[in-house]
Amino acid sequence: MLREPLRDLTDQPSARALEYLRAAAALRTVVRWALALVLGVAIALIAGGASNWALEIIVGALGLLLLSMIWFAGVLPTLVVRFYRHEIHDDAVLIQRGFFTRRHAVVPFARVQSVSMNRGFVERRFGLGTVVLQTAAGNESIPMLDDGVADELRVRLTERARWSIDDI
Amino acid sequence: MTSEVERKRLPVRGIFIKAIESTRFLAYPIVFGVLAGGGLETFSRVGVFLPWLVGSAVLSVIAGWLSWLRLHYWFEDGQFRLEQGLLSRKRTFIPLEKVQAVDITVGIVQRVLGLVQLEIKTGAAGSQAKLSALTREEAERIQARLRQGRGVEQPAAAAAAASSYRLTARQLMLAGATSGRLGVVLGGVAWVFSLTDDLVFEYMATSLSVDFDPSRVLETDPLIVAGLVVVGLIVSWLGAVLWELLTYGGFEAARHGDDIVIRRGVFEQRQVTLPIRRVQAVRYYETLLRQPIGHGTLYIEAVGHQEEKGQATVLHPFLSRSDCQKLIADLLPRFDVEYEYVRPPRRALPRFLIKPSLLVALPVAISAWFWTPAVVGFVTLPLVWFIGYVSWRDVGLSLGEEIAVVRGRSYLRRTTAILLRETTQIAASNASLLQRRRSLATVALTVATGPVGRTFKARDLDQHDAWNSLSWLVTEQPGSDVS
Repeated sequence: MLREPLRDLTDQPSARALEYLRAAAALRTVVRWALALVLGVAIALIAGGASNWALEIIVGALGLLLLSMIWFAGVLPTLVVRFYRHEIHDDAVLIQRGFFTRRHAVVPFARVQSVSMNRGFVERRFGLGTVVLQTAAGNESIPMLDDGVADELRVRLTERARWSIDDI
Repeated sequence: MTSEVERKRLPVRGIFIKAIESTRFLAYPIVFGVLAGGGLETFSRVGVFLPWLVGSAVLSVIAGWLSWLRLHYWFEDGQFRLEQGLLSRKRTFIPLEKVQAVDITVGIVQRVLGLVQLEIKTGAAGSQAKLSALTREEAERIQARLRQGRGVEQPAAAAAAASSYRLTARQLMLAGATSGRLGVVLGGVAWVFSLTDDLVFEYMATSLSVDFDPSRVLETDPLIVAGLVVVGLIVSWLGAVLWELLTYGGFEAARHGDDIVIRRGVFEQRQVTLPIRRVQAVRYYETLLRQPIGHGTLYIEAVGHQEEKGQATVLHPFLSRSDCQKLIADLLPRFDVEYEYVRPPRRALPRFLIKPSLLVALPVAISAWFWTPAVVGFVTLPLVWFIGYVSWRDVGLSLGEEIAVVRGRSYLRRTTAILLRETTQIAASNASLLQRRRSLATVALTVATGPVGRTFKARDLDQHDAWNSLSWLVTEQPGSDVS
């Protein structure tokens, strides 16, 4: 195993991963801008009345919202999604992610203390789950797996981790 | 075994320590009042100072007595058990084999009462037991008991150590002079000056027989300012030396059987006992001031053991590189190996030079745009290149059968970490777009220490070498699976 340097790993996330990434990013962007807008309006009201520039500012904000939507929900997910990969080996899990900075991590089963599954608010809408491997020094996660796959993986990893556990 | 379930209380004197511990906050209003209101008279004038003091004292003794009444500890079923708490009762059961470290501290108050504080640390963050007032004999008995529970046959900590390391007075002075605390103390001195500046200015002005006018002092006499700066620097430096003396005075690190015992401190004495097999990594830290004189600080990383929040345990505050090797061979033989570094390739060198250069050149260029003489700032560039080159030279990674050595520099300090393969939790290789263009990657090895672990990085290695670190963590025969 692990022969070629920094190759792409084999197992990919769910086919719905792209949709999920887009939805999650869109939601985040909207929430962020909505917060900014509300805060801005509140400050304007407290500072005393609408200024002459109110319209321009709102148009500008909407323009920025559109731009960040295109980038965060449109472009970025397509770039990133290809690189969420993982592989399960006999004695370890390999995890890969990232477009700009690509990270390859390895977690030996012997170091896994517990395996858990997280399903976020948006993830649930898409029937996805994240498997989290907990070690004594932080977590590594395999995100955006189909519910069934994630469950199966969690069970498998838990088994593995159980018979290779050792005292740290 | 009747002695097994004998529930014990702290000695009666401990009430005072509990009292001080549990009601320290009552003193805060006074401290704030004095600092903000400017003088103790504020209190006596309003007539609250004395009643407050007496009330606090009475309250704290009652609180101390109550918590003393409630606190019991005992050994049962191979566990250390602690029960405490007035309103919400808290029970802590610590299985003896889970004990990671035992710290004995003697604060100033404890010293007066002839007591010590004992802390039992386990791997879990925050789950530990603290007995703040024990007689020394009782503390030693508990310690022996804990050691027994771990199934370790050995003499008590009081027995002579196989080999021990101390600090000479000269080393202590050097350590203080080169300690990074200078900055912290400097801040403190500046603050004191700011509180008392009028007085100081007045005093200095009169002693230098200059006409005193606080508003014009900066313009009129640069001599005074220069004098103040010099005095401030000297006081800060002395403060740093003093700090180091107080913290590490009486320092001793020694091996007792399977434990490492570290003692230090003048006013507050501290004794840390760590089982050797709990040590996950050691880290040798060379700061800008200490590297030229060939010295550094040696830390140990052990699961769950931190002296204070976020601080690793200091195994030796000030020792030379060769002594470091000797100490490791003596106290931590598992970490004593020969190693040879894999280093970043030559094509990685520009990455070490370009980014710091830009960090310096851009601000200088921008300032020069507005104020031409600022171009002088460019003379620092050679220094930046030198640091960049040294950083490139310093990076190293060595993957041995049982241990890995990771060396790197973050601008002004060099870190050499030795970690065990069996306790390394995660190995990762990170490569940014720019790194990938040059087939480079940064290796990150994470060991368990503290709540989130600590990651050691070797940056800009060849991709193959980075990838090897991943196989190193997994394969049973490291090196056999190298492509």
